[in-house]
Amino acid sequence: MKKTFKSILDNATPPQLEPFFDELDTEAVSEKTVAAIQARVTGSSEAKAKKPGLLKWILPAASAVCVVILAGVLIGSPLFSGQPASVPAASTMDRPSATAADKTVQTNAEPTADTSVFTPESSAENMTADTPTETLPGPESGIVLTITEDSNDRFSAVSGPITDNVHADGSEGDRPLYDGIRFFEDGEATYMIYAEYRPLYLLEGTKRVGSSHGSSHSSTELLFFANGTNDGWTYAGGAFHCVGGYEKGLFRVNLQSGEIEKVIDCSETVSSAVVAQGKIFYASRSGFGDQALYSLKRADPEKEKIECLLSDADYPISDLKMIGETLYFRSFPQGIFFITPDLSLHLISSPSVNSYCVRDGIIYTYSVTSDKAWTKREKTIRAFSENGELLASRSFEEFSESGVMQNVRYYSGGSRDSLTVYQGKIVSFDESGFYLEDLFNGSREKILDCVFTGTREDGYVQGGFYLSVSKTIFNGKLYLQYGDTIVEYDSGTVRVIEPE
Amino acid sequence: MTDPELLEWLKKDPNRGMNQLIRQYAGLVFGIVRGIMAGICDSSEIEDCVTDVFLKFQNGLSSFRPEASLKTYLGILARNSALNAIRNRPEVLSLEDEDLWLQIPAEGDFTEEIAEKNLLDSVFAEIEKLGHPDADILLRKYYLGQSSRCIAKALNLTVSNVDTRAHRAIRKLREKFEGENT
Repeated sequence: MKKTFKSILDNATPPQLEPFFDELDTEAVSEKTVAAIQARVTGSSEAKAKKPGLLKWILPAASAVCVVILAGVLIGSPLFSGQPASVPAASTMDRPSATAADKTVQTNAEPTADTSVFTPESSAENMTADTPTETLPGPESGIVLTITEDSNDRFSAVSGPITDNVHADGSEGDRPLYDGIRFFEDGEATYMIYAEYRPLYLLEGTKRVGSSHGSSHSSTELLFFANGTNDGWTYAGGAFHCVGGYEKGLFRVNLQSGEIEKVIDCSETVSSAVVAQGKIFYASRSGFGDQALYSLKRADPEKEKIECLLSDADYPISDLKMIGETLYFRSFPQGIFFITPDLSLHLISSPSVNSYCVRDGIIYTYSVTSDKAWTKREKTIRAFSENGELLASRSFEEFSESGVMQNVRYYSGGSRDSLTVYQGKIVSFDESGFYLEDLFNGSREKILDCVFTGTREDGYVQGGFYLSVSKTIFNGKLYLQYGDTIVEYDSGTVRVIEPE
Repeated sequence: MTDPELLEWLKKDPNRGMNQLIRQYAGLVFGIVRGIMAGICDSSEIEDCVTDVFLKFQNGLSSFRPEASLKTYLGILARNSALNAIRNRPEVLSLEDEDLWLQIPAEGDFTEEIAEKNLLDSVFAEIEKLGHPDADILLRKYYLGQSSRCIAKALNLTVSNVDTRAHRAIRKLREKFEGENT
């Protein structure tokens, strides 16, 4: 029998390879590249808040709370009306840039006069109030966003309309997730979708009516986007399937057939997408590391048209959420941007936001900062009004003692999960249970023992749930999911949902 | 930071632990992935693959057993991920040249599994005997799929020197194993 040297080495065990790897050199990698990978893997990074690099043409200075109304009116093409875009200089470029155009654009660059700062009372436990923030000047010069038409070649195989009933309550669009729980409504039925790595499952009530296996089926359709290593999905109405492997782009796929029914855009890596008003808003990335550039696009499946809303940003555009008619997105480390129906672009500047959510007109952000030695970490939750006013802010510190972190508190279960607000209070958790924290008075109330830890019937000791717990709010109830366990919390009433 | 410290962080505070892991080993993973994918895939794909390595590590963390260092574990993961990424382009990794064939004993009293393990142990023992830089060249070339140019740069040798040494080392191994089998 003959074997190749390579095939022999293929079967080498780690201990056999250990001496070799011990001597292996490493390549120099830039801070920015490390931060980019950290952000993609953990949803956070150690990168310190920098002066605006993203949309640097938008903000000449920003490090504290300010709201900038940038473009009162975007050129010709209303973002949400679906009217044809007024396309400047028909672009043959794949990626038009956001350059100043000589169109008539009103720039309202008035910063808010001040940010009223909430002064919390003496906090329970160890939460501390932020110090008042300074008011920074707005941009010295305006910005013109040019909505440009993208190549239509990226559409193919149209197979019916995409419905647009992404339910804002609980879904809020999507993060690039391969795990977690979401709810969607399409007017006829309510679907709970949850996934544990893969596959994902679709529930109607407690009954599984679909899965990414394709073995069962449903009449519901998801829109998938893939960034090459990770999949995400958002509801689009129809039947669905998972796109994986090294595919990149935005696809609509059929769960029953496993076929990609429609390629919407496979030109770039897509990290986040949300469907609203019959259109797909999505964030994409081209290039890598120092050369990476990010775009925000809008695709009209009916007209098979893609438009660039923002392009050539040099920091990520991620976590798109459509709340009502306002499109939100996160841009690390600047903060949260949102575009209102009158087409003005706003920034809630909050340093190094790891996660955010919007509830009842309040924008909540969650930030984490750490010292270089990783012995201390500060977690901060802030609440802002839509005009940028800081309503409340609380921080607390985790610290290392004998190499073990103390006072650990979690607000999101990793990159698949978001900051969650239930009945006006922040949901937090630790290894012993779940809590509601009042950002305004500092109170903290335990609502649930941890249902995800303990010893299973087969003797397996479950732990580490905080790695991947997922939370969402739907119809006024709080849902928690970890693996196959789903818990519904409704004002003190707890129900464990067991999928049939 | 040492492996035990990192593992403790990964357990107690996964995000922080992962961020530190990435900071510590991004260079290693990039080096391995780029060595395999450079010239075949663009930089975006290389980054995706590097990210994939850390995601795979994160996803498999619960089953991680420290039988080797994190460096070795991530190195193997990086190598396998990069090879998977270019699996559809086998013509680029033409490692199957004649020099690489080894005649090994296939029959005997052992089960195939034991024979395989013994073979691996023997091969690694022989590779170790080759010493530096020949052992490094073999593993870089035939395990990590690095080009001669890349190896030459890393080991401060000329390309022709790398090729010559690889050729001689493989011949030594072949003589050793074929000799034992006759």
